[in-house]
Amino acid sequence: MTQAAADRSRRDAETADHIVLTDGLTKRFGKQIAVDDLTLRVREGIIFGFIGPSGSGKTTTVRMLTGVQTPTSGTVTVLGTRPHDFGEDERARIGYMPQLSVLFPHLSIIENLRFVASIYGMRRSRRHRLTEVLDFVELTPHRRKRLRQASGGMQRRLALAAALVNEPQLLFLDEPTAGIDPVLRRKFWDHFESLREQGRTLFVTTQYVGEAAYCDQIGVLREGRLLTVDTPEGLRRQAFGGEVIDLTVAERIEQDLIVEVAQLDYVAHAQRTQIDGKGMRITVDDADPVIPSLQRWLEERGVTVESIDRYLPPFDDVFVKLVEAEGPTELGGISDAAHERTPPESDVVIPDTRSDRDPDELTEAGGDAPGAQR
Amino acid sequence: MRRIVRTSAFIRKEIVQVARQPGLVLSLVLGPFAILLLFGAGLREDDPAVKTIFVVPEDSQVAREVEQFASAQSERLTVEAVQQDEQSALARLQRGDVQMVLVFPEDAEQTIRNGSQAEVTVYHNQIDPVETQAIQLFTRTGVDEINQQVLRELVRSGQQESADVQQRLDAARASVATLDQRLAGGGDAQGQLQLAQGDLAGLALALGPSLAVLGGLEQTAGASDSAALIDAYTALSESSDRLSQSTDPSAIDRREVSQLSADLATLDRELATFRSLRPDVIVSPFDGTTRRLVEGSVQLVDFYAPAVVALLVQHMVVTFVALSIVQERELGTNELFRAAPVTTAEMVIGKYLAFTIMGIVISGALIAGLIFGLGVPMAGSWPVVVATVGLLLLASTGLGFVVALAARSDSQAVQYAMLILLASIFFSGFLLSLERFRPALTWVARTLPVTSGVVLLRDEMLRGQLIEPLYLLLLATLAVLLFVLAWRLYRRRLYTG
Repeated sequence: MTQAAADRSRRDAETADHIVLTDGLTKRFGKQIAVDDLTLRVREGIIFGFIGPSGSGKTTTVRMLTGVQTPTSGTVTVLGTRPHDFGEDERARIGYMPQLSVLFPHLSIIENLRFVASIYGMRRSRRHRLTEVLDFVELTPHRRKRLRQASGGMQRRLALAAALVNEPQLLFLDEPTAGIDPVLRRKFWDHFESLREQGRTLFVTTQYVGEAAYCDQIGVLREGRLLTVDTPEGLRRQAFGGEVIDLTVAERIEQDLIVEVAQLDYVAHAQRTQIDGKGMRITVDDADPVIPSLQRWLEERGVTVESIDRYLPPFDDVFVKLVEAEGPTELGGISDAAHERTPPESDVVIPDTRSDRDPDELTEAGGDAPGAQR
Repeated sequence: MRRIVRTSAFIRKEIVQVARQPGLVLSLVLGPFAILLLFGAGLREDDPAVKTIFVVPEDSQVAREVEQFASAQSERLTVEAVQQDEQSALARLQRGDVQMVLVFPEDAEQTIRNGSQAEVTVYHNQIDPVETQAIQLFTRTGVDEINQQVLRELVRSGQQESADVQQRLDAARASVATLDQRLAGGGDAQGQLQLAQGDLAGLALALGPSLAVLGGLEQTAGASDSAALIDAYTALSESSDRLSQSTDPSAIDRREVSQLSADLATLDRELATFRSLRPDVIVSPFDGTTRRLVEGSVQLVDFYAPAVVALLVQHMVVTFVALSIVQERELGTNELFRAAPVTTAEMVIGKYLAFTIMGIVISGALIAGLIFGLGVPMAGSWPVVVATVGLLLLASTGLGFVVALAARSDSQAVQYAMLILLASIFFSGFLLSLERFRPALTWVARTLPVTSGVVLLRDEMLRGQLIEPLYLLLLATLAVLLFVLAWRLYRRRLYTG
């Protein structure tokens, strides 16, 4: 078998396993690189989170995956086809929720939804499907309301309903929870999980790092480059070098004890955590078997353990550590002080690491070849 | 089937969107319509009066003629005063009390007697070129009228003098007849020859001044009756001259005497005719009346009404289409379209159908309002009017696409639509006919759909037939070209951001 045949065979196998595949996907707008050498594999039936700060290239990636924009270089396959070559069938299997509300303010919620259903060519089962999706996003009581009179949350729910109306196999949701309150955001993720249960694949971009916890797999993007792809747990391990145990004792912990703990075989790292000196954070490879052993070891040395438990670091911390590990940003990196001031997890937004134009706002007018025209 | 569903999505969406914005419809259709209606209803059918002062020399013949002229004028010319003081007249003109001052020369009669034209000076204070042109035309007409009045007086005078001429003519005819008898052997031919020569000389003397005036009249006014009289006299003169040179009656050829009798008879007839005609018929043998081939009267409002429909239809559709496309671009809906299985052709056709349907409803309401509400005539056939409006709508929709694709924002789209409206008002034949423009500009004007629309709707509604049916072909060609351009531009813009 030749190398080319082998590559083709491997690619076919990957295509069968993965609903989205990219290799070296790059998008430039003039001299600016919006997405740089992105290689990605997304399995079917999962929620794939694409997390990165504003301007990191999330929207541009989604636009290339949906066929809205054409890559400058690299290859991309979605549903087994290049988005550039999408036909009616492929497009009908994809749902797309753009980052901003793109529907018509003078039409009512139901009229907007009917319009989207129509441009997908739906006619026969449309009424039933519209009722279904409106119920799903809890907009049925507001169906007659004009979009211009609807709240921001309603507009986002309508956008989600519009993305779902054609019963897509693959959903691209570009920052679906941006600008909406935490309660509604939680509901959105409940919807997403429910959709995954129905066997659909969701490709969700977000700036809210806390939302990584809801995803099956997460890609972290920074300045157009993919830093890593992993499960939520895997990302924590990557960020902290293992699992984290939080320890609180009755008396102040002496420095010698910290050094001794750090020198244990199963301990990767140990440090004091509380101002009164009674707390310690210990990083280990696997927390569950270590906790009883560590507790015994401490008690044998006369240390009274008040609490010892596995600590799940918030994803804010996880992402800050991952970003820091990649080196300073153009804004000078994220300092420890900034780290300490991090707000509650669910509201954390990854800081914009770019000082110039947001590539997500750029269009192909920047000099690239036009996309496929229909 | 799916194509129809997708196309109809755009038809429904556009119609509902426009229906949800009654303010937009009001400002784009009813607002301009009301303004144009007010304009049409407010325009006077008659021309405004021109207040005039005549400055004439004191106690002159011209002064009397002008007084007479002024008293006979229509409402177009209001004679404020006939006076001698030029300075005070010009001061009133300067203050705006009057619009025109006509100054007749002091020595007009002498100038005319000397064989030159007496020049009338017209002062005005207009800066409006159209009004200036009107005053120039009006002045020329007025001076012509005064000239004719002078000529009429001359003819009247000539007719009065011809009574004396008639006596001398009768005497001359009798003398020549007697001479003819004597030459035939009936008496003293020598004595009668002298008598006849004397009568003919008297006749020439009496007729001379009148004929000189009539000669001038014939030259200046082309009075045919004067010409006949002069021709008759010329023939007589030649015969008479030959007779006058004879001293020996026996050497006279009787055929010449017979010719002289015939010439005198001709002169007698022509003189009788000349006396019997009215002076104004002699001075102005032709009068002019106008008749339009199209039956019925066409008022000012009627003339502008079809053009208003064409103008509003184009403006409305261009603005609606442009706003729709720009809004989709600004909202980012194009992104959704590019991801969805809808094609450019479905979108473009959907929009075309939507705006054509809306345009037909609105223009139908406008035309019905004009015909049944304002009584504007509908002399032609409805199918031609419908076809014209339909093609105008299609071409305007294409123009709207082009405007939208050139504009970067909705405010820019509205500005471009207003520019097209402005160009349409000036160059489409709405205000001034196309013939008034330089040929190159008329072809530019014809690239506006409304230009064809104005010509076709005016002809069909007011004349009852298309004088220039090629405009229908031009409008159809524009509609096709703009459709192709719209489709290509829209597709390119949609897929390149």
